[in-house]
Amino acid sequence: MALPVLLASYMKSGNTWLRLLLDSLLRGGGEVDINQVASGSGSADREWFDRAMMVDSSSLTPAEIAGARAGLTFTAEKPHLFLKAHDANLPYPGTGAKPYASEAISRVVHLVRDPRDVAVSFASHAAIAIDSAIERMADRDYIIGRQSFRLADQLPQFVSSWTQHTASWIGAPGFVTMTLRYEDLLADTPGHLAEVAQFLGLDAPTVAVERAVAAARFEQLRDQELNEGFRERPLNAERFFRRGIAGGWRDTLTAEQARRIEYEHGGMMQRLGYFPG
Amino acid sequence: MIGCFLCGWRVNSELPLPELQAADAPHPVADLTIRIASVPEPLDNIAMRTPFVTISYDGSAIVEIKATGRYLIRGGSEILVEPAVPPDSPELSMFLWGTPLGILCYQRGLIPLHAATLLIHGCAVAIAGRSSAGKSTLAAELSLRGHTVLSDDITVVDTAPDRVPAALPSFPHLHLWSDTIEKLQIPSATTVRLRQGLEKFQVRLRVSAPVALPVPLSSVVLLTDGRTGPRHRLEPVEGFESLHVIASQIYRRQFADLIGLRASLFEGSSRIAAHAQVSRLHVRREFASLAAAADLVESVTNRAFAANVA
Repeated sequence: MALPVLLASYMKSGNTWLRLLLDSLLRGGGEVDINQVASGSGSADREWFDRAMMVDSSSLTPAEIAGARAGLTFTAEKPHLFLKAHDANLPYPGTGAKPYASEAISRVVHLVRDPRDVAVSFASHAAIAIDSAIERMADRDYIIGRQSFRLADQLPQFVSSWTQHTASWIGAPGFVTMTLRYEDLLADTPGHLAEVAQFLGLDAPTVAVERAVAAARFEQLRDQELNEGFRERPLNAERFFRRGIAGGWRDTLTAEQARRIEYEHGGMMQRLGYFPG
Repeated sequence: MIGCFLCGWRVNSELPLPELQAADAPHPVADLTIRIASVPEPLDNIAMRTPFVTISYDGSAIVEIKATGRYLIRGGSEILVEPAVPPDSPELSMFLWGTPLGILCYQRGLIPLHAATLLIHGCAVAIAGRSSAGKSTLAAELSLRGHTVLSDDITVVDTAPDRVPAALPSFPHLHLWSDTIEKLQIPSATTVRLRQGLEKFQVRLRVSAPVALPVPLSSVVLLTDGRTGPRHRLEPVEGFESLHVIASQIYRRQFADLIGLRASLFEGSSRIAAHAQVSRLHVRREFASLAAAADLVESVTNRAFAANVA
């Protein structure tokens, strides 16, 4: 049985788009229905955990959940299964437990995006001010899905700061990884999709790649969400597929906001070619 | 040892179980005995193991939550509990009424549905859905409207062939998160924290005479995320699709698959699908939609009534 592929990224970095592209590619470039992605899913899905562990995660502490998650084997019922992951490859605070065991994952495709664009998109996604998004991205203790006062449909995931998160996945020891920039995927989608396919050992004839790119083009995804909604959209967010562009921060962030991000994440931005620029 | 009742079974228990209806004295003959004892390890013939659950091919199982305790469930009539906390800690029974109860059902030939069930206009209406779908919150709203809670989270269904499938009432308490308690303005005096560090509480909203007898299951409503498709809509599910809905809402069904109960589970699910009205309730998971969702659940019983008359 095939082990799943982890699509690892910070939030709002093109993870869902890549998953839809790959899902279409697996079907020879078939149509995309954003609400019916057969081959992919979130890795922190509560129901999945509960079924696999045979326990109610809603009664467990975050540390108990974190301790068990690495032992979770995702049975790939399809030949390839793509798991969206926003966790950093770091131990959950207060535990020694990293979220994924490398033996349980075949490959990691790590997507990164200019953190200045992430900040704009993340603010809209979480329905918070851009300054708050910038603060969260700098927070080394940042956890999403923490069940504090209500039951979240996701398990708690340790995300940490954008820099820590990114550093944890680049060439992560034990995993077979490739890091791909969202901007590059956007600039040459067929070329980079073919590259990802090759990395994953997927059969990807040029025709299928082109059809997948067309089926998952931004306007298509946006219109589907407008017409039918998107089940992965956070309740507070106006929409999930918002702009789908690179460099949008230039007309949205104030100079001060951009500087704060560059100050906080400059080292990693430089490493990835986002800064200076 | 105390005597009490659960799902119509006579229960003798060394754990205090205040959520269950008490008997005057321990039963001379019990259907289920819950003892405090050391739980042996390991089981023979292990069929499956997760970090929390070990299942034997003979149908017995151990559930272990390290910080809370270990549970051995066997023969459909006995549960041994080895507590890691004081025996009156609510977390011991919180976990007991999860996976161990589900496994006990299979051992007794019953089907556990992942659903909260209320008595609405004399009909048992099960509200099913994935964990975090909002079953208990909707059940709380319906309870505040005066309907009796038959069970929360797990609904035990008797699908014996000679009768109409019926829900066996467990206990009228709900497990609610503090957010729900606050929004529904439930007085904190009526709530019991289930576990240190967890904002999850046991609540009994309405004190009515406990229902002890089985209630025919009139309706199963599947809570469906309203982020896609129309908002606040009740969609009847017919034919084969209704069987699919029931089968997807069976609690811990891998257990049945492992110990060779797949065929009887299919038969039982078919019987539920054949007798109960099945519908999908599309609703957004937000408090503003709660009243509309409760209205729609109440309307189900009108349709059930109409169908019965016809």
